[in-house]
Amino acid sequence: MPEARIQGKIPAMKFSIIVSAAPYASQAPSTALNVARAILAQGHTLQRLFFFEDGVHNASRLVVSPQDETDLPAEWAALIGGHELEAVVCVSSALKRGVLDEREARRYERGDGNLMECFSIGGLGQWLEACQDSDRVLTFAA
Amino acid sequence: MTQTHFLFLIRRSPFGSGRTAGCLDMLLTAATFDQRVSVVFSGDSVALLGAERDSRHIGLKDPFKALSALPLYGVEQIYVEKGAMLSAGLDTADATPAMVPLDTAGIRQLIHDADRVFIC
Repeated sequence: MPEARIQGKIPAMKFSIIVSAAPYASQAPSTALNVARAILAQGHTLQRLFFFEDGVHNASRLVVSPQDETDLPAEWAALIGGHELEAVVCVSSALKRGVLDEREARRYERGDGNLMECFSIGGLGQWLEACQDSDRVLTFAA
Repeated sequence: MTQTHFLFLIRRSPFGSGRTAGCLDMLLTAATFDQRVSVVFSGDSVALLGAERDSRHIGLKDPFKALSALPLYGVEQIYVEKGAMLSAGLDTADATPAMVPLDTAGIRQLIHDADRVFIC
């Protein structure tokens, strides 16, 4: 079976991206976002986004971005929604950092959840699966 | 599940950055799922490897407490960078029996051989 190709040259590849840095704390999540866009623009597949450690803050709806800066969480949400990407937030990282979906917020009596809807809660098992299934796994950390 | 070779390069002190604990979580997850795992300690992580530690005094959990259990998880390829040991004032003879001193050429080969490399 002929392998999938892009523009007749580079084989289409499956990428996964790990984001381990918080928005505005370094360039890492912004670079990750730009790389994710480039991967999709080149016709490759973005199999999974995995937000780990401080990266879970990119999934919070409570982040208020300065008006003269890119709203990173909103940009992530737009990318994920626009391309129907799978975006997983590591549950243990998220709990420690106060990023909770509705269920975890109820369980720990923290009021309303703050996880944006396009993200799902998961664990390192999904990170491992991405490592096995993707052709390339890129980590963006500070 | 197919077996993938994971290499973890741990350079940071367990107390200087939360990323060290995260890296160890990844390592243990891979080992739990019977993946091939190698780990190299270098940089600031080396100074605390053999040291007596009681992090209760600073109110922090010690991620390196799990290191003694690595062989139980099937992690047998545990290395410590020779240059980092010397920088920390340690002799290669100070490496614990489970940790093999490794030079930069050896680390380079490990990186080449691994399917996935994670650094903290």
